[in-house]
Amino acid sequence: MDTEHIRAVLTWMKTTDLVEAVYKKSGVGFALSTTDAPAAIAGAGMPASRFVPVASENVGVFQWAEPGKARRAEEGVEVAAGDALAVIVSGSGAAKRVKAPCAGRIAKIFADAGEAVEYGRPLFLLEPRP
Amino acid sequence: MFKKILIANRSEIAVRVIRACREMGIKSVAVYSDADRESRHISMADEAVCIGPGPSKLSYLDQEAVLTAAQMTGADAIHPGYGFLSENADFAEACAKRGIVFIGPPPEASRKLGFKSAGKAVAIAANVPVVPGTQGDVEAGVDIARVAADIGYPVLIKASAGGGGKGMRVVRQASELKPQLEAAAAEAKAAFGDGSVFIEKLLERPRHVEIQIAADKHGEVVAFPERDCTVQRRHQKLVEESPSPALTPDIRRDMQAAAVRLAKSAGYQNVGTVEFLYQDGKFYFIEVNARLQVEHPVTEAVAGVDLMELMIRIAAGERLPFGQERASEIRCHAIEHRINAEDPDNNFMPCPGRIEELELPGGAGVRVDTHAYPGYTIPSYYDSMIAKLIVSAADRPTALRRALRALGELKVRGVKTTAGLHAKIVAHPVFMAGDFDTHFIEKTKLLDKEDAHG
Repeated sequence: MDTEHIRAVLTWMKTTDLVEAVYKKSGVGFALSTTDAPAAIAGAGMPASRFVPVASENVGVFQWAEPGKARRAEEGVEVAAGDALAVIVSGSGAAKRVKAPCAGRIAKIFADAGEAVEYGRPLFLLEPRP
Repeated sequence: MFKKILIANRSEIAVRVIRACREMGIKSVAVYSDADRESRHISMADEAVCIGPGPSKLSYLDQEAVLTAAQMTGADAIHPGYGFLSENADFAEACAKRGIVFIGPPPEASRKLGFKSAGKAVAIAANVPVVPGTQGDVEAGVDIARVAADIGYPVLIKASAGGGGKGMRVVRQASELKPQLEAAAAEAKAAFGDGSVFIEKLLERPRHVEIQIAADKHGEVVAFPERDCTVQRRHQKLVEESPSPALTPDIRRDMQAAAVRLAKSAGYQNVGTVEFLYQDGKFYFIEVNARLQVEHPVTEAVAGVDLMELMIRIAAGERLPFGQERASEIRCHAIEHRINAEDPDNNFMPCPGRIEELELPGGAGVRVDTHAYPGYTIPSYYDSMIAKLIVSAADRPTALRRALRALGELKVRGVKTTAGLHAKIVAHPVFMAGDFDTHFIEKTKLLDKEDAHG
């Protein structure tokens, strides 16, 4: 592969909102990522947070747990990575778990049972265990 | 009438649906992906629900997310726009199961007409002319020379399993038929593992002409004046106009009658488009688009109707407010230009990015449908159309002059667009004369670089 070709792709990428591009054909290819986008966010004057946000990855109704299961999430409670903090129930009745991305303490809860949530809605703040 | 409509789409068509909702006093719910947070349809709607990340498979095509959003917001109907879920019969069925009206054709009708081969069978049964050819694969033992002679040369041999030109052969005389048929079958066998081929009449100078229909739930069907979408690039429509500069009133009437016959025999409801190829005074059915198309504003201008409102009223069970005589009225000449954020000098490479400055044309007979605004960033996940420019005037020459004027007023800075190409098309003597076919772009060499040393 010719680097001149990659340069063209990179120049084009910089004109877009893309931050990563991967190309592969017959086992060979390249992956590019720009440093611009994360830098722009980091440079917005905000100090890095010590909390890890947990947002909804689905559209549906927020519930503490699947029917018949006990509520696990309370502010101040310690959880392990992968623990189910809550579920999001879609219109069909299917429940998707909201999992803790890391081990730590639940610092803040933003949602309550029965609340309709959209994709990206902040649900929890976790304080990772050091 | 519906109280609240959820729009399962994005971009200019979402804006179009919301405008119709506002005029009709219906509340609107926008859905959007993470990549579309800046889109204008979100701020225009009464409510908005983020349904997933950028890739459409995880958002606009996620049926469960769309349906859940509709249930959560209490929407009683879903408008699918075009693309995405608009021609998905399974989605239409899923809406019905949850007690939500799908604003579009019933699933049975779109299944009957949706696939090209299925649509062709319905057309033949409804006595609608199709491109002459073998009914299915060429079978062994058939007098192929006679079949081809009946179809009439030149003919096209096509691989049944394939596409992309593999196993495709043009045959201009009887002596070439047998060797070409064998070569095509061998090529198809190698490419698709299936050597079956079929033969079709080759239309060398076709125009793409389509008929907009509207059918209510009470069995009434009307057909509007045709749209001519002959100017295409790689089967993508660029310019659409109505009425067609090539059709006579008699052919128009025949085409409209054929479209109505087809819709009635398939039990079609709501709006839709019957597409034809037209050459030498004859038209041939190709397919049905079971949705409201991108180019619908052309017909809205020419016939003086609001197709979006009509579509919503039909879905709510209302009767067509007029008959065929009114639908046939031609009130002006209209042209639509699809303005894409693409670089015509660089093989139409999409140009997502920030629109630094945007000035839209206006004035008499000019309509612009867009979701873009100055400072809007075009996401890279979706198609590159940023605006539709529709001009209308009393006759074709005036409409062409107006189109040039309006294209000149359009200013987009920050991204490259196809606006300049549209101006070249409108100003081209062949386009002005109106005598061209679907190969217009190649034949006029419009895309060839002026400076060969570039």
